[in-house]
Amino acid sequence: MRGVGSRGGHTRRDFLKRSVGALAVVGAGPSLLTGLLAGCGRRQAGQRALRADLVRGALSVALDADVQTLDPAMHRSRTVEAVVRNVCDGLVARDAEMRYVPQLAESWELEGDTRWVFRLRKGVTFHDGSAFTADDVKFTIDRIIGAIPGLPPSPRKDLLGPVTGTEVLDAHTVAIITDGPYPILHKKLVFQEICPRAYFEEVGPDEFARKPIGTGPFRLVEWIAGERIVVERFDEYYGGSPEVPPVEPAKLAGVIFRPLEEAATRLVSLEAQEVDVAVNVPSDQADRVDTFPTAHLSVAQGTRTHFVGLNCARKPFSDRRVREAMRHAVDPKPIVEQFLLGRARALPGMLVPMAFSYDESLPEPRQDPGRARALLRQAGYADGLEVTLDCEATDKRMAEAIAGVMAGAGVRAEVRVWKKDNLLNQLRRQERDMFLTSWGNSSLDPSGILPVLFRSDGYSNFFGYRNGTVDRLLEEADRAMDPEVRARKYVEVQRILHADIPTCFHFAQEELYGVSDRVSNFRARPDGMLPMHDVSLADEA
Amino acid sequence: MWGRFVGHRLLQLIPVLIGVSFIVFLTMHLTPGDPIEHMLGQAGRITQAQIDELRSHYGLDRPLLVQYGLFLGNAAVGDFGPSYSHQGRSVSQVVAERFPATLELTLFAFALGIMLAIPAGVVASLRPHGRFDRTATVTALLGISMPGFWLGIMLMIVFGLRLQWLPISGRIDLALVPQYVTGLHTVDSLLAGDGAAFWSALKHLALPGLAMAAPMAAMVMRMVRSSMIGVLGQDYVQFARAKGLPERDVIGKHALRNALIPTVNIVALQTGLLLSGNMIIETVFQYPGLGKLAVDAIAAADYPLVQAVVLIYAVSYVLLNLAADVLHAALDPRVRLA
Repeated sequence: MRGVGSRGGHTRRDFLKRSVGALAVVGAGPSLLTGLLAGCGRRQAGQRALRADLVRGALSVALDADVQTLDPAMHRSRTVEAVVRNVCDGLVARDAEMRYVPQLAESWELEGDTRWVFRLRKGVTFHDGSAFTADDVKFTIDRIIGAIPGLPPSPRKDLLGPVTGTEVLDAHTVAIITDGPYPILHKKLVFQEICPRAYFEEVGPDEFARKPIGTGPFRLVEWIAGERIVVERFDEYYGGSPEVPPVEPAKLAGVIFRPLEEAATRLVSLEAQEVDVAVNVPSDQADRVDTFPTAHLSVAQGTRTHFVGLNCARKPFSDRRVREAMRHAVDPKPIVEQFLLGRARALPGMLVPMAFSYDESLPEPRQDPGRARALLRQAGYADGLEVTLDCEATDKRMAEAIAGVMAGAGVRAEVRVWKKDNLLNQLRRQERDMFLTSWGNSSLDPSGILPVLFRSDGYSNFFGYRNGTVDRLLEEADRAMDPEVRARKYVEVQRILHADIPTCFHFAQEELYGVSDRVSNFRARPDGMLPMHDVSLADEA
Repeated sequence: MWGRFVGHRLLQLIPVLIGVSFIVFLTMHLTPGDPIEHMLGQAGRITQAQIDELRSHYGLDRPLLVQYGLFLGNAAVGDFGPSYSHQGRSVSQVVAERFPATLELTLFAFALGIMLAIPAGVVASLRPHGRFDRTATVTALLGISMPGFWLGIMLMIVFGLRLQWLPISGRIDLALVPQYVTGLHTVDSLLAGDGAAFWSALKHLALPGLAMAAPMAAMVMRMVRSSMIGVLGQDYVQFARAKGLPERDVIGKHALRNALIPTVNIVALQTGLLLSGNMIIETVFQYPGLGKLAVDAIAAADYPLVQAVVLIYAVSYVLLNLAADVLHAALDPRVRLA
């Protein structure tokens, strides 16, 4: 007796054949399509197993963002910078206390006000064995400032301010020339890593973005997009800055960076000991990390200032009384305390306390709904004020809390959420009235934040803010070679801004890292860098 | 008959793909935010000239319909152009890198789902409202109701963290990555004859695969159960039993095959959902596949990359339905392909 299928003239063999055929269609279709798409995509075919000793001896880092390039000159991403800094050294670096130390530069001196002469370390080699010379420094700086024709413009250009050119004096001496005095050039050089000219010219910009080499303590082994970036110890490393001992090759066999963008995944991975360092622990999870049996929390003060911006060029905030009312309507302290569980600090102004020339005399913000109402009444808003508070998705809860508290002062704020880049561009066109946003300033120098936001022509002047005195003071401070003169001018600017109130509700969050107990010498840093040169791993029992 | 039917249906793919790509193209261009904004987002001081230069470089300054026409023409020969968000790489390269991971995960989840659902459905149908049936039904209800995101994290916590049985993320032990042939680590490691690598790849697939398979397995199990109950009440099953066939043959050969007919369609539909589920699952598990790529590409307004990924999904979906129709006809002789 045959099966049911036989009644229609189908044998089981037919059935099987057809099922297999149908499955083959499903399987083959997409495969064909990839085949078609793959074209020259087989570069990934280089993928191979890593050496077992590298995998065993490597530190594993869970990053909070993916990277789209590893070219030191072609990004504005802190994640890319934190990874690349392990592969490519710069002329200048910062130690864990944020002090400036020479790295590939041995020393530097100013000739006149606009010519900086850097003496370079000798005997340093790139990962391909070629020697590091002044030519590579010239190439690196020239590429960023756009002085090499035929290469795409670098998004890091403005981090070099008024640098106009370079001059090779001999193999180990190079001059960097600025348009007018630029007192903080050495501070800004920590954001640039030196790239090898010969290798770059040999492989071209696209390949360099995939496989950069540098003079750093680790060399790139592989970058599998979306999955991992693997670096291994560079045994011929010159040792790094002599001011940050020990001066020797790295201790770790390597580092595996993995983008784990979901915070929950990062933390479970840390707890399960699949990763050794988890970047960017959410503040509400910080206390939990300290309860992990095999990991602890590492904390640094943050350098990003969050604030509510007010558009001084448009009604209703063109009236200073309305702006002052906003300051009295809501106090950041209790909100920050409640939402960020004490992992943040309310600030009187735009600068964080670590920053150069931070003005300690500014009064702490205080909530006073009665005063806010009175000011609004004087400004003609006796029935209260209706406004929209714009923010990006990550700030939505905070914005809603602010709006909620503001209601007590007669301000009916409606929260509106945007995509990050979209909001930023609207802000730059000064199209929004009131907004919760932030500005990072890891240089910790006011020049990285005040002129950008508050000069009349600042490229991120979101506020339509125009004050001739502020423009003049900032210009003078940016050009004053004497640090004390600079500091005085920046303090004055902070006081004027406090009086003019283009911003209120300032706070800075802590940088929180989860770190496995088997890691030694890793410290959270305010600048978010992850230097692995001195880090080591305890042998596992 | 088979050849003509399949050929005809494959031809129908063309208008479907054109339609899908047009809708995606329009939606991408209608949503606020554009790729240039994203590229220049943090880039500091930007001049209008720089913006215009980038716009014309990517052809974004042309009329929409011209842009679409150009895209279509190039896509027809497999050229999706450069990715906006992956510097210096073509869309085809980026997609080709990620596709094997997604294919492997989806096939694994599919197989896992079927292997769980069909036996569970059959066993549950043998004693409706019995203990196994009730457990399976409640489990299936959970499988359908639990959001993938939450289920993924729960699986990580239970199997990755508490029990330490399975790895939480990644695709394979990095010391065991097999020689690249298909890009599917399980297949490549078998081709290389490396059992340890195969086992490692399988273990890494387990949690995301299970999270992805859960809703599908639940639906399929419920379908198998109810159609089995229907079939088991039929006369021919009574007859088969009456003439003394072993129960195993009655269930396996006579009842199950008929119960599978309605199941095939559900499987095809649910597998389509698997594809969409992988955006969430890949994000939670940081699995480097197409779903994660699509999510990132949308955030970056990387138009051509989004287009390419959506087209792959559309092709897979159409092929799945085609396969279901073919399989349906194979299972049910009353159905004719035309």
